[in-house]
Amino acid sequence: MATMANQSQIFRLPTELVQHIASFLSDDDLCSFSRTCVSFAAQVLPSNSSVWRSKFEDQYDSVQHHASEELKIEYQTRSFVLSQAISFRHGETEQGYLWLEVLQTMILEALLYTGREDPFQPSSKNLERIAETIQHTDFLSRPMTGYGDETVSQPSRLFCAIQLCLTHLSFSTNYSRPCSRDDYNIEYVYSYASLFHVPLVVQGKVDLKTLLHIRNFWQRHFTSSREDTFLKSYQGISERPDTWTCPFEPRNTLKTFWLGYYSCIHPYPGTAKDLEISQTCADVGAHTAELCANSISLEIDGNAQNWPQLLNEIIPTCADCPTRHFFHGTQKFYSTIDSPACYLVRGFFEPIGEPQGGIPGWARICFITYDPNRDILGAFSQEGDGQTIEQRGSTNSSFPDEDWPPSDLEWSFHYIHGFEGVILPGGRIMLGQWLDIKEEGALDCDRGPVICWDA
Amino acid sequence: MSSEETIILQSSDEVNFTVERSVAERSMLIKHLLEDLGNSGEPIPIPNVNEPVLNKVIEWSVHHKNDPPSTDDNDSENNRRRTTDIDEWDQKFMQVDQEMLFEIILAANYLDIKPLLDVGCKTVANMIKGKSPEEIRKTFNIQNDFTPEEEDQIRRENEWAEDR
Repeated sequence: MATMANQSQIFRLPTELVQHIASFLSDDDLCSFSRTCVSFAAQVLPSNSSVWRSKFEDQYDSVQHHASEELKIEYQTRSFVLSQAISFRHGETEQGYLWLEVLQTMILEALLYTGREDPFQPSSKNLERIAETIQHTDFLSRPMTGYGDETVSQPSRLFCAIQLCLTHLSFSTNYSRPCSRDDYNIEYVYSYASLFHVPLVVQGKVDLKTLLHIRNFWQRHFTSSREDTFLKSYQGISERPDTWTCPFEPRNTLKTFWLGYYSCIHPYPGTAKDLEISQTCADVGAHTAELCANSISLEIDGNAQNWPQLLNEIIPTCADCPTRHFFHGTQKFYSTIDSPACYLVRGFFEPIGEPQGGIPGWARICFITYDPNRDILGAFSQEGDGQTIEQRGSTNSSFPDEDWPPSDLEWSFHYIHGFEGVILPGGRIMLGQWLDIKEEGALDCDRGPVICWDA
Repeated sequence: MSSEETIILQSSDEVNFTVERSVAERSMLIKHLLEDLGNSGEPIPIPNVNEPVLNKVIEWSVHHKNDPPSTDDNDSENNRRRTTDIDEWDQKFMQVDQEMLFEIILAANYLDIKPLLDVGCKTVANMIKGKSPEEIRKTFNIQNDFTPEEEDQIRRENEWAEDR
């Protein structure tokens, strides 16, 4: 030790303290430190050095036990991959795919982490790290693959799933810039020129691509000042997804209160080009975005007749869903949220067992919102009977006891809209499409995109 | 308010320091000792720490005696991402020569004073920050004892953090 005494005082520190110091260093500094001498290299670099576990647990949610060897490799892989300047301008490259895979792992961990239901649990480090990483890329600002090419490429299911899971960030100007109109196909968003409703979930498989087009439509119209449509109205709502710290809720049960928007287009565009130019009624005259903002309040109601055969022919339940829940509720427009006026809601909710794009936790939700014609669809209870929409109460308990199911769709309702959507993993955002049930089958049947979030 | 109970700490070179119990209990080692054996009033020997270093450790403990106690699992710390930020008083406190700096770190480790240990380690980390290997060697008077082959191997091993 005599030679040591002449050398640096720093060598008096035992290995655990050298490793503790090293755990405070950035990746670059850690490498420089390990290159100073044999002793530090030997104390810092091996996979059994506590540095790797400290650094990993400092930056990521620890949800599963990793062996030391695995942890070092995982830490280094994530550091390396997430620091790459990634872009999907020319489609999904091998490098881009690797980047998506790392994000996928981190989202899976964040879902597990936030699913623990521990009230004292701090916020997810993985989600913070993802948000940081995204800021340095165009991932959410240009949320479509191959946007720089003549014809955009088909995004992979992995790409779509990750985009959708990060929807809350895509509406935030801190993490993303408004996307372009080129980042979605407005014909998909409105199911333009479809005679019949095109299902978003078929045999347990979610149409992630269409959902992403719908999401991107909302991203554009919520965040771009170039669109004089939903931006102002959206920014005026205090409970918005972009203000969330965590889009994932512990329990994967149906949320009971939702805020959101639908978009419509009138008159029905004669050509796709017309729709491309004027993308929503929210940009004209009295029919403002405010009128498209609404809240939906739901209550589980086990009666399967909430979705009678008449409706099942238009929007069918999934044949092999073991845990379908029915519900009823009310819909109110945000601009008149304090008034008792409301429409009625009936529908069902089906958890989707299979992971989509490698990520589990999706659910399908379908419902109708309607104004019953009480001359045909009678009401028994005191509350509902003989009352107009304006007089009807807004709470669930006042949901009327009416002559349900209806015998037809044409005469029993002044108005009836159907909705099919998908609740994203974490349970706090639903995206989908509405349609005018009475006009289903006609070429100019009103259809359009919907977004709602848990409030 | 009654005057607080005092404890006598004795450095390795047999200098006695009389401190309030709350100051002494910044050290988990002493806290547990007092809990187990009680305060006999006799000096408690601190065999690994000499007078100037114990003096510094006590100075730090007096300043921080009202800080919330750190828990065994560092729960509060795990909540937040690690930083090398050090508050102003601690920064001034740590403006000492390297010998004293490492002595304080070793004493904090021995006495089990986690916040002081962290301040010390962060101070060293900040001395490393942004420097090349050669600059780090100069800062701490370290000899480069790698063979060229070893140096090559380390460089390859570090490729994950370079090329960004």
